[in-house]
Amino acid sequence: MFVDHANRRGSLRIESENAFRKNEPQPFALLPYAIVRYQGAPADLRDIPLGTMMHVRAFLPPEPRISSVPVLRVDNKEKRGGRGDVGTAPAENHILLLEDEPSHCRREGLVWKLNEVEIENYEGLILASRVPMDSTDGTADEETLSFDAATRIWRGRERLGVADLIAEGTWPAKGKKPLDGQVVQLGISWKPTLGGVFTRFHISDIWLDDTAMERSAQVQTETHKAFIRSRWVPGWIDEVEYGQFGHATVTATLFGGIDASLYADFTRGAKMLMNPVENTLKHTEGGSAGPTQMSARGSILDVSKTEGAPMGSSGIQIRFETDLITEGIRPTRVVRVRPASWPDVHLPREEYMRDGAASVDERFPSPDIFPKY
Amino acid sequence: MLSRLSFRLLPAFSLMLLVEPCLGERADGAETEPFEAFLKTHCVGCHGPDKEKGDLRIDELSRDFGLGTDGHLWVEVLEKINTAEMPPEDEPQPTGEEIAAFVAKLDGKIKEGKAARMAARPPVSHYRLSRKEYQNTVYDLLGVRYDPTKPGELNEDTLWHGFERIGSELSLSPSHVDRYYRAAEIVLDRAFPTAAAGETRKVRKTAAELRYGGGEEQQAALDRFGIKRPLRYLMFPGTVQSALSPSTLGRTGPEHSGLYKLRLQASGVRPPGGQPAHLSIGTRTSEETVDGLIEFDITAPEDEPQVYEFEVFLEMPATLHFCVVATDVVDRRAGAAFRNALSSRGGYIFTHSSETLLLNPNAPQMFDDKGNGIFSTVLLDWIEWEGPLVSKDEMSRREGVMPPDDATPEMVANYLQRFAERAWRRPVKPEELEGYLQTYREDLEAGEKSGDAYRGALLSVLTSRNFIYLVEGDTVPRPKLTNWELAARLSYFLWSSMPDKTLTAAAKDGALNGEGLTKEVDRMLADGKTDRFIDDFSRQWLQLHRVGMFPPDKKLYPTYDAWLETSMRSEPVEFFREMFAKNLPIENFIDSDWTIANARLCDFYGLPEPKSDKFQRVSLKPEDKRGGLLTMGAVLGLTSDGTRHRPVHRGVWLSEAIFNKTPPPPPANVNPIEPIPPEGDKVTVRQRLEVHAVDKTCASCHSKIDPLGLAWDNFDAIGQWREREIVPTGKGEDPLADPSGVMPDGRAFENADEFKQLLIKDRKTFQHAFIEHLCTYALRRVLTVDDEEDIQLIVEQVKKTPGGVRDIVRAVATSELMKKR
Repeated sequence: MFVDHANRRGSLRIESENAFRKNEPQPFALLPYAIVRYQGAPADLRDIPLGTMMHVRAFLPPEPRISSVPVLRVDNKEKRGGRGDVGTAPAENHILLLEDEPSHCRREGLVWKLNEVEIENYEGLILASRVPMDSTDGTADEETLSFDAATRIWRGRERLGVADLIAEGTWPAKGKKPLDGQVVQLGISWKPTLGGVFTRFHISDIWLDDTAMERSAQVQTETHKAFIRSRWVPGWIDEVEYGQFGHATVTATLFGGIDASLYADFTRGAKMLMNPVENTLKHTEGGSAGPTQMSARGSILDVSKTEGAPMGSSGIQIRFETDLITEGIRPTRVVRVRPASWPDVHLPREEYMRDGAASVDERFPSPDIFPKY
Repeated sequence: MLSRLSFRLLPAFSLMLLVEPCLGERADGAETEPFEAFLKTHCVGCHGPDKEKGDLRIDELSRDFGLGTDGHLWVEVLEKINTAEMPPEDEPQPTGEEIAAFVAKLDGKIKEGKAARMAARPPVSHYRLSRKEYQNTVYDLLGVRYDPTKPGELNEDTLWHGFERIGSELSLSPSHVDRYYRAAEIVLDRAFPTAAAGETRKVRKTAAELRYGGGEEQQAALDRFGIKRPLRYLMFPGTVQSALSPSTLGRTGPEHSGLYKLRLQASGVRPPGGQPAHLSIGTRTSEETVDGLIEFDITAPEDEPQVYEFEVFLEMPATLHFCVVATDVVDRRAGAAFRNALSSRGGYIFTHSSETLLLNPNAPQMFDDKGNGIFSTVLLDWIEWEGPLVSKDEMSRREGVMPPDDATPEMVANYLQRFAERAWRRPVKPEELEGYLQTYREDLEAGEKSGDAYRGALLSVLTSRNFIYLVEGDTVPRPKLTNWELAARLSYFLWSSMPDKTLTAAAKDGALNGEGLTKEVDRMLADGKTDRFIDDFSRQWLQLHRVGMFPPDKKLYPTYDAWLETSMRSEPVEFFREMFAKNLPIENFIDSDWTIANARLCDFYGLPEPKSDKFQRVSLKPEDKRGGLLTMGAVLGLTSDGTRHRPVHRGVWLSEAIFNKTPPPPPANVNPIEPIPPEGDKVTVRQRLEVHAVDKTCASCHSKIDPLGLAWDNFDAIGQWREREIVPTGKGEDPLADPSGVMPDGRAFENADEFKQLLIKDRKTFQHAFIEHLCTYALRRVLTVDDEEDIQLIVEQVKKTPGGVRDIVRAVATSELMKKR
């Protein structure tokens, strides 16, 4: 599979009933306001290990002209792929929501109930059902999932392995053991399996209790906060009121999916920077300074919050006054913003465009990078 | 060599002969006269026969001010009295009125003496051509364009009250002479190139080539995004970008120097509340400025670009730059990164204000959501250079100058004589050229090619005093000019250049008198070359060289820029052109309900944007607060110091330009106007001046000068209208400007409009002064009391006409004074 995290795109294999290892990876792009979650917390593409099973909500390309992934026929999901099943190559390849299994379950209020473990040589299979948290229904579909010695088992503040569970006698070293519907959260991935089974998922992590899950989410949240502070909060422009000779008052909505403590730094009267970016959210840097150099600067005049904002939006609107409005600050265009109090850091080369030296292809990455099978 | 020596010595020689007995006055028997009485009462007691304090005997100082023998001592007397240093405190003191009268009288005597010396004419007078006149003359003589104002060329002309052609001021130092040799060599090289002249080429560069290095990559981007409009070159204010490089036209060397036709297609974007787009094309002087060869506003809208065409003389290989001039620019923040973002080739692909996708998202926004400009910008489609061009008319002036290679000595002598007669503007005797021909023959014998040897002779003609100077008179003194001298004087008066064939023929036929003279003057006034008179006279009369001499403070006057300054400087000239063309009465100089303005000036004055980008006549309403010369930005600004308006300087300028009277100078070491302390109340310059002028030694002069300047108090240092004077220090509200005053003769006025009406009532005085200015310009000398009678004759002559500007110029040109030495 493939991840181009700097351009917020990649490819993923879509689940199907048959031998989906044969299915061609399908290019996707994150919408600029996409929400990515990993281990129950906000994340970036780079946080997600390749092979992780993700839940996706995607749409048709909103701007086919500048799509960074191939634009497919609208009815493409009705077609059978070259080697794959119907529905494995939908045209809806612009993702709004990308979340791993525990994130999905926590958002939807689901848990896994473990029914039985079968083990030999530190690897084996688990029979489990995914059910609503408060469900008592015992008829849910049962899944067979693999695990191995690399599977991480989180309990309280401990991180254990299969060997630890065997050693303490929780799991047998060999053979089957009923687990009686033990409630856990599972991290699910996929790996090739012997025996011609191509549709079975693999358990990467087992969170045995809430404390364990919260700790993982907290670690990911801190990763996310550090990332956003250095890459800034994305948003888009709602309105521009023009003054003279570059003075303007700009209203922007911040995108959603970001930790609330970061939004809280946008306060009335605070100084703020706004750097126009493209749909890839890729920054532009000046000759020697970071993205700060090429940003419009000014003060926040007002911050307001609308409840019930749709997914992708934070519902937080800021009004910002600058004395030199830059080209990308136009309604519907995407920007990144930060309060002046956040650190002024430079980005690694692949994550920014050099101001004035960036080619059109760098601003609007071509889909040609994706291999054809 | 002889000729060089002779004209270098002449100015000194002429000084020795200067004596104007008519101005001399003796002290003997004149003690009852107030001037002498003042000296006797207050000075001679200590500086006379009884006491001789400071080794000074005022009773023995020469009263012959024309001779100027004791001039420096008289200036000292003037200073001591003017500053109240003398008489000493323990001596009887003169009243303020007595001091004022004495100072005015002594100053008048000193000035008259100086004028007499400057106006003095030895048997042979030499009046050097100004740089402008030299430039025009070589063009009319040989069709050669040569710019003597460029660095390293001819020295700047010394000005006398703005006039740059006063003979007594235009001396010639040895280093200056060398420059005339160099100039003549350049002129001859251009007229008769030794190497093959570069062929005429025509090269058009599109926006894609100029801005995008060919634009292939950019076009591919346009194609990818389905953008159909072509690439345009967006030029924004604050940077200088290449317009012409030595390689633009292909291999280019000095042989390609000459006249070029420049055509370009462009649109201009004017931001709401901002200035029209102004493009300057010239030599780069700094990051934000070029020394413009071509200056123009572009008012053609974005979707209707216009083709603009200019002719410009280029010394190749040349490098020229574009610069959009406006006061509101993209500033240098972030290490000028935002400017660079606009000019970067890769990241900024411009087609139209509505197509913003391919513009650099981090560059400053140039168009708002409605397509309005945010800054003044120029959108260029293409530029085309064609040249070097030589017109048939220019070529024809060189015909018959170079003899054929196989010419006989007699033919060569004839060729040289014909050329010298044109160049020297008079008949030339063969013996005057014998020295040149001798050198020519010696060069031939030494193996020089005939053409090269002959160029040496031409060079001698062009560096002779007879060419560089207007020579009037003979060794035997005579009071009148010859016909040849008159033709040259008229020609340099009305055309700033040499006589043409017709005028020369009239001189030759002795026809420059009576109706013959009138006919010639009328012909000359109808010729397009009078534009040179209009440009030169109006600039000199109104002292427009002072515009921008003290650059206005950018913080105080952010809307002031080089183009506004250039436009301001042009307005009085274009106004004069209209006055002259329509023969309008001179009251219009004082007040008018129209002016001649371009888009930038209309913007500055708050007038509607004119239809075209050229200077044009625009109507003025009373509420516009403008009209006539005196409320023009140039006039109001040239007397300011860059920070604040200077009412006294305004008064002095008005006194000189309108009344041809120069007030006495201020005393030395006069206390400056006190600044306002931070805790003090805000007061106007006028109020501070009034405190200053309470001093009796100051009051007498200020009472005469100040009213002439205070009337313009509603205009700030760059000539912007204001109700209140902005006072940077002190407490309280900015005070109201007060333009009221009382004329020296007691007539009161409330504001500038009423003041103008008082001046119009003094029309005769103004007309008299205007005639004097014209005569000073035409005669190339300072006028004296001796000229008054002739001036009066001109006044009488003007009375017989409608009295328009052209009538007055005509009366001067046909006057008896013009014929006099």
